[in-house]
Amino acid sequence: MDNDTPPPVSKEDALASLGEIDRIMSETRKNIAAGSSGPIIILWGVVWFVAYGTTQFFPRWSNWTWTVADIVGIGGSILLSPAFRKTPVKTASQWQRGAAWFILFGFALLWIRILCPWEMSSNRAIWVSIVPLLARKISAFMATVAMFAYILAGLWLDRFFIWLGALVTVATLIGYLYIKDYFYLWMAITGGGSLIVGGVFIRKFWR
Amino acid sequence: MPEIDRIIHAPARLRIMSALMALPAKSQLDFPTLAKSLDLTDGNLGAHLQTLEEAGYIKVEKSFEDRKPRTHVSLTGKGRDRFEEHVAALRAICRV
Repeated sequence: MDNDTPPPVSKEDALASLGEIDRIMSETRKNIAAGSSGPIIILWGVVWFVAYGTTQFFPRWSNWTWTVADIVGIGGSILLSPAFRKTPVKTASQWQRGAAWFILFGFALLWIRILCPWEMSSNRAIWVSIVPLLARKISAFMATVAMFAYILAGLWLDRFFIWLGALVTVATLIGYLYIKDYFYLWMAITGGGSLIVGGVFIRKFWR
Repeated sequence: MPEIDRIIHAPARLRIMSALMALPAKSQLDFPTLAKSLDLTDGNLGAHLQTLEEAGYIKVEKSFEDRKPRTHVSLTGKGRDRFEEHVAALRAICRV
């Protein structure tokens, strides 16, 4: 057989090769995600746990709590991202992932500003204490926006993100509809807890 | 009619190309991660990378980070096209 002749491949060999390609591509994506996504998801789980828990028990502090929580979450995510750490993958398009989150939350915050009175959307402490229904609505909305992004990421990365996003979305809706008085505590435990468990799972089993 | 690529079809090289195809376009994967995730020795991986590089399917870049040598591997446009053609050929065989 000369070097230019394609090798004969049976149907069984072709099927095995296609299966191997799918397996390696999936494992490589998971391996890469474990290095960056895992720690970021754990960070946001802790941020949600602390911020939602504080909002439940100290609603008057919620404005400061969420300001600090968002700074810690966003700043930490940037520092944990591949752009600031030595990771196995160098890519010219790392900024696109950050830009996608920025656009998504910019969109969500824009509509909160449009749909809510300014004094309510600009001072969380007021609306958590005085307008609890609206506060719960906005909190549930923002949590499901974040999980919507997880579900979308799962379409490219791995079904695990779809399940994690769907699980937290369902937990958020249950809390919003049925556990009204303890909604923030519910979100701290189910939302924050699911993110922490999900992030630890990625770190432990995707490497 | 897409054809089986004999360079890519070798099992180790098929796995190397698959791992690189999993990355976003224009991305590079470092050598130790590739060796570890594919369970290949450095020598074995190096030999297969050389074959793929000579065929123009991948690009190997050596650099220094913190005074330590690092090697990064990425797919070329030609490599991406050939891999897609190879996969199309495998799918065509499965349909027969």
